[in-house]
Amino acid sequence: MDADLQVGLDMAQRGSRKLFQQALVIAAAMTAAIICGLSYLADLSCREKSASGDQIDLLKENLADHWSVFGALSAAQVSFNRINDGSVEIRVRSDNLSWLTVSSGVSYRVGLLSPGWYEFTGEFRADANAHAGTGAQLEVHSDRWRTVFSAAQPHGGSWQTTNVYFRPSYADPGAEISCRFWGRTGGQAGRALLRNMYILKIAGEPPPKAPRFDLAKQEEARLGKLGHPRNGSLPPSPQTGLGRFSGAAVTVFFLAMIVGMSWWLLA
Amino acid sequence: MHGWRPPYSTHPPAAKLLVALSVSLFGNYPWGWRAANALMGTALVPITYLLARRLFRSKLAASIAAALLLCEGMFLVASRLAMINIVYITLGAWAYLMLWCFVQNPAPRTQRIQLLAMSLLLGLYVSTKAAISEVAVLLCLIVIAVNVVGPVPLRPFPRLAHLITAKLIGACGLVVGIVLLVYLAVFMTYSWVVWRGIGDLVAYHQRVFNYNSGLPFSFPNASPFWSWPFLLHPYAYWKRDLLNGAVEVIWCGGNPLLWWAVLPAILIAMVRGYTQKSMAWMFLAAGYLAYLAMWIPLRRYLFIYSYMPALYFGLVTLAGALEECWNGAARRWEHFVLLAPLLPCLILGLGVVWGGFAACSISIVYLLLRRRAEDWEGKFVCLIFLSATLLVFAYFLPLWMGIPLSEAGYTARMWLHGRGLASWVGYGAAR
Repeated sequence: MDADLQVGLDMAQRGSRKLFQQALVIAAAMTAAIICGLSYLADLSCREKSASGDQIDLLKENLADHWSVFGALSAAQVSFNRINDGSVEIRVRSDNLSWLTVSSGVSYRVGLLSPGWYEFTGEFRADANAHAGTGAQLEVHSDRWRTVFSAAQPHGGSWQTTNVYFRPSYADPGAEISCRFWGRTGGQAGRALLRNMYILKIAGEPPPKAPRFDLAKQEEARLGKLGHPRNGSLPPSPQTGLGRFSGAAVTVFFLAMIVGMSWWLLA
Repeated sequence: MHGWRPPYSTHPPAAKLLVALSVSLFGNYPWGWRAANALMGTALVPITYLLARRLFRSKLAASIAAALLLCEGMFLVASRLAMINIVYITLGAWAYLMLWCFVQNPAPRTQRIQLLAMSLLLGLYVSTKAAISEVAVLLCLIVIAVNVVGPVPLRPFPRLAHLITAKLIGACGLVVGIVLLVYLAVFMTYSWVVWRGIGDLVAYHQRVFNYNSGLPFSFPNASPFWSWPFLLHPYAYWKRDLLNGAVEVIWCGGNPLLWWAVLPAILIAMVRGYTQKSMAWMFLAAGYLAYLAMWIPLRRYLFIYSYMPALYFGLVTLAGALEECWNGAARRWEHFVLLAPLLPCLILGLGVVWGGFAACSISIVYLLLRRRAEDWEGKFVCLIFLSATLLVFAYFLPLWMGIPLSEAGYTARMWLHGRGLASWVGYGAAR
């Protein structure tokens, strides 16, 4: 009777252990599925951005969802306000001292543009105060290239229209529009206005006299043409007396002999 | 693939070739860049299951190992980026699996095939990551040597000693020969366009050596190797502070509970390896320590992700220790050291009051079980640890996936934010 009871208990214990193991395997599979699902959702926004139409409006409704801060600024120190004429006012206030030493501002990152030419257009106005040392400038970045379109102007200066064409590189097909501020601590440290700011994909080449930055061409000049042998940074060594492949062949033969002898020794 | 002249890199090119293959198969888009590494990271889970099953001869330990790996953020991040880390970790784990197939295989005929497979994987590992991979080769050679020589006293049997010597030389020769062949093949494939002779390989290694010798000791976000097990200085690979107050970040840090529990697990492995003369426990402890000790002579800056190979050993060890708890084979001090890392997690995550309350509750339940249901105290330790691991994983998941967090949510997760080494915030986004 006792033996039967013991067998029964053992079986029950084994059964519960098996159940636990199966539950663990299911939990692991579910965790993997959840991670995959969340990865997919997290990547979805980027995919939408890359697949979005030919025109990107940098000042569309939910500005705070697209513009980010960099440097010593925090989101709480920057405010975006829409003004009746359709422009957007950026006000920056900063109380921390690192603001004076760290390059800071706001930026809009456009990721993963498809190959081809793009036009950046926009209107920019910034307050500058030489006495207080405040000011701002608009910058467009893509790959290693950076261009400054409008330097700071005295308060009440006129709008400056900026227009430039660029072709992103293949290696880093993105662009970033930044408004960089410099200024003083305490109270309002900087102010800039943006209007009609777009990145447009254009068909064909840009107009002949327009300012243009061909980053794909620069990349080709640096690395060689796409689809053809390109210049890398791996240093070519002086050719050995054994010729291009003879040295490698001798090495392979020598190693193959070691492997063969080892194989035979193991047998 | 387009006949480009290859760019110089201090690490061998196998993982880069894999990403290039992925791009050629799936297209030059983020999905294409990352698909190969995602597959490698996914493959690591079943490989870990099989490895832990071999090491501990337990499906439960294998399941726990796979689950712990899934809950470790640094492996998750590495599987989502086109970086080389997850590639060599997976290749290494696969090589260890083949090593243990070899060790536990009673049929000498098929042993050679397993050794061959292990050597090919080690060759790819060496072709992916410099320095770290050599530790794996050395570790495998030591295990093979111990396995071949065995515990038999050789002096009275000179013929047997001769046979064993031949087998040892054969095994080591096979491993080293194939590793070098694979390395040469990968390197030649990569630099085919500019290949001028075997001197290229020598010139490349000279350049790598000179480059590494000239690197400074400190660098933003770098941390000394001894700080890695304590998770003192993780940092953000990428961070964006949106104006709506949300913070998006890809965090190069792990699950703190798992990281802090790895040290006690290694202590358990060392004690068990010594007292039980268990090769599996010794292998895990030796692997972990070797991957840490290799950084001692280096005087250049290092980043926390270099801890991943040691961490992998730590996670498998932890799974074995938890399985021992579940089966009632663990001693009380083992329960204690495995539960100890929960305390800093509770205090830092929930605050002193609620964290202290939770720690007291866990202690009381444990003590009650110890008095009234002794069989359940180990199971309790295992269940509490696994549940806490899952909760901590869920809590930190947004940091690994780039899911937007509120500023307060982000700050709350930065458990260490001192000005010195003990800081999880890392170098700012200044440029």
